[in-house]
Amino acid sequence: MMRFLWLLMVPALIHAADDQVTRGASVYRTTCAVSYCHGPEGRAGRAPALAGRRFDPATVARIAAGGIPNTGMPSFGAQLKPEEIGAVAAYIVSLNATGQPEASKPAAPNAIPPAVQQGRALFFDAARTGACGSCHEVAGRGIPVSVALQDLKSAHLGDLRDIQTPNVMAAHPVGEDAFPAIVVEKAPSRVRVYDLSSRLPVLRTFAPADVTLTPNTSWRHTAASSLYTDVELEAVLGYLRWAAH
Amino acid sequence: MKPRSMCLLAIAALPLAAAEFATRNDWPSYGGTHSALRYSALDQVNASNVQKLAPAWMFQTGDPETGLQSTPIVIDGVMYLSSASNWVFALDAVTGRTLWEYRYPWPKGSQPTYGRQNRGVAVGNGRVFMGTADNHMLALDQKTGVEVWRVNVEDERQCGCNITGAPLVVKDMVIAGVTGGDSAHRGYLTAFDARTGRMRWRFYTIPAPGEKGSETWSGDSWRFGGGGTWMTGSYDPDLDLLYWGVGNAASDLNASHRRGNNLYTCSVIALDPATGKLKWHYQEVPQDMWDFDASFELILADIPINGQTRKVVMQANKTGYVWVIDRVTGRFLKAWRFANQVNWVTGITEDGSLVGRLEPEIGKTKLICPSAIGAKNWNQSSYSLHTGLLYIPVQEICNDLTAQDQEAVEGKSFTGGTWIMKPAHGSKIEGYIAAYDPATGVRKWTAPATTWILASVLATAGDVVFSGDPEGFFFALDARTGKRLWSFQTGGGHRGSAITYAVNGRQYVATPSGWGSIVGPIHQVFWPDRPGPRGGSALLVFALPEEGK
Repeated sequence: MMRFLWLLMVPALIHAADDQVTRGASVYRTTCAVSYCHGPEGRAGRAPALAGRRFDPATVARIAAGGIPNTGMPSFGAQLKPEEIGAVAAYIVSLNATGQPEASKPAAPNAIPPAVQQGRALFFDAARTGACGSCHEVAGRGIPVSVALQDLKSAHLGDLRDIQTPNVMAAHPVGEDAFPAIVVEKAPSRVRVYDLSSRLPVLRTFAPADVTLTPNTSWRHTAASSLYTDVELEAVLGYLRWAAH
Repeated sequence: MKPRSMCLLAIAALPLAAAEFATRNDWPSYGGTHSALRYSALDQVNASNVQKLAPAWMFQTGDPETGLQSTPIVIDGVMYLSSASNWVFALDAVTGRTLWEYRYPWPKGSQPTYGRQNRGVAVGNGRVFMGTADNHMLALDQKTGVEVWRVNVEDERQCGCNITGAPLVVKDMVIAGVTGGDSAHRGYLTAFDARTGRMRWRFYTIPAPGEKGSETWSGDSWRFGGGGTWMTGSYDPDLDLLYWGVGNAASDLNASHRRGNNLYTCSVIALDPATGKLKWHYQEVPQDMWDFDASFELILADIPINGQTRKVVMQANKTGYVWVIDRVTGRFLKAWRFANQVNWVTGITEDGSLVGRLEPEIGKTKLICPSAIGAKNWNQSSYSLHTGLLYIPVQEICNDLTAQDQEAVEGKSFTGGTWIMKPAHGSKIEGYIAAYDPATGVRKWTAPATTWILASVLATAGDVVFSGDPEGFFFALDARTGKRLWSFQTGGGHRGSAITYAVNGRQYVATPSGWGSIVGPIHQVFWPDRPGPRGGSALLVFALPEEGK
């Protein structure tokens, strides 16, 4: 009950003098900005930037006090005094005129149907180096080394196993064995290719005279998809079909 | 000054060929040599003439946003310097003339998780290597600065991790660590082929189910257990062992979901550099609950322990303790306290067991010292072969810790509670440089700072200890007494790592200047009445005036 009482007081506190903003900045710097969370002046960090977000003080105070369940945002209601929360809110609001609005974010993971979640987790599985996501970007996540995965609405497991990869060339550098490559740039000044011979693709730059590209390659997509069992690949397909819609 | 003969005797008493431990003309690696002593055998600048140091040249990176936290590398008269936005400069180390520069092409709208900052490059195999704040490793041609290869190590948007530390070149490989210890992430160390960029091996700092050590994690907690490798390791070529410090466990303050010792977080690990296989480990803090990284510099030295010379690896870290470990076997030798405000344990036994842990609890706030900033943070200590003393930048800060239940969301902040920085009861926040005998832990002297010291320390055979303070002063202390011998106002707060080198017989001392980093803004809160640290991003280079000029 006490908690609600002081929340009601917050708007009144916000109209206090600039020293409340100064006080809020102090609290912010010893709490919110610590450990790379919201960053100096609310501009950067692992947690969302707070500057330029057009927050109202009551919202900031409510979130600071109560936290946000299932996210990294803890509650400070027990650690900070109501007037400190109010000061932090005043400080955050004072940052409304600064910073840049956040870029639009891809859909939150919890917006994905549970049946699709497993396929998504496998696609981006951090525990296997060379997972699908280390070469393909889907919905704002993953590394866009190879082609975007589109039109997979009706794809089948067999399609995934038999993927043709005409975009993969063979690169023959001077004094080095040939390697499977995806060409990124062919300019008079330089040639840039992704070297696929490692589980982490390498973007390599050559002088044009130092590398020859040929269409012939023995590389097969199974080099990557063999990280997964058939059952797992079915789950991955489920995710890709869902993402295509 | 002691007579020269005394100094020579002191060297003779130390069992090692200093060449592998001390730097000479070059500053070839992040910590000086691969032993990470941050100690130079150069003595042209010494305690009797350091007062005459004068600026030789100065360089502005033009990249001031988060200050200059870097350590320059110097090889054969060329300096390699990185700045916060992953710009790299090759400079003539005598004149400061730019030989080439490289600017990392930032993806539009990129907002790195752990901030846009960089602590240094590594040079070797004709390449200059750097990790980027959006989690790429890259190699530049050492002569031209042209990019040769680049690897996106893990999607930064997914992992909530990146690279801010300097990599380490070992033989024909470059080894890179990763941040992410306070995110829901599983840390690792990756080795790349220096020539092609291809991954040679990856060592996960948290074992997967079925692997040895996985029994120290309950349930699925291994997936997001932290274990960042965000600072730079060391290498012993005689033992052919790669040493790296592993950071805190996640969630930081709440261990209720990760029952067990949580290997290999808060540990020193020794790997076979050819394969990345674990040779030994020593866990300093089993089941860490304080955000106590063991990530910092690992100093390799040979020191007498209980009357016997031992090959040790030493680490001063957030815990307020220096850990002394046998670097051949990984056996615990000693831990001694270097900070005054320590209450997270009441002591450490002779076999390395922690006594009287004061652990954060859910729904209960406790004042625990040192804080998550640590009694020492990543800015490095220095160990002098000349004095046999270890010089540590110390700060006395505590924090109110409150654990909270939190669900892990991959790549998102995973702190498991809150911390609020404050002084110990009846005390004040303060910082200083202290000199210790690492064999006994006996403190020889203390040089108080006006505020604190967040720059690294550099010691030389000239018996001078250099560092810089937040208010812009770069200064020299007498290595034997701590007495302040010289200072110079550089205009920007000090957050980087000074080095020394020589070209054509002339010794230079170089320091970054320019305040920044995540703890930067906290300074004005701790010391509201002191002048605030100035940002910037400059390198200042000093030398003694040349005779006849």
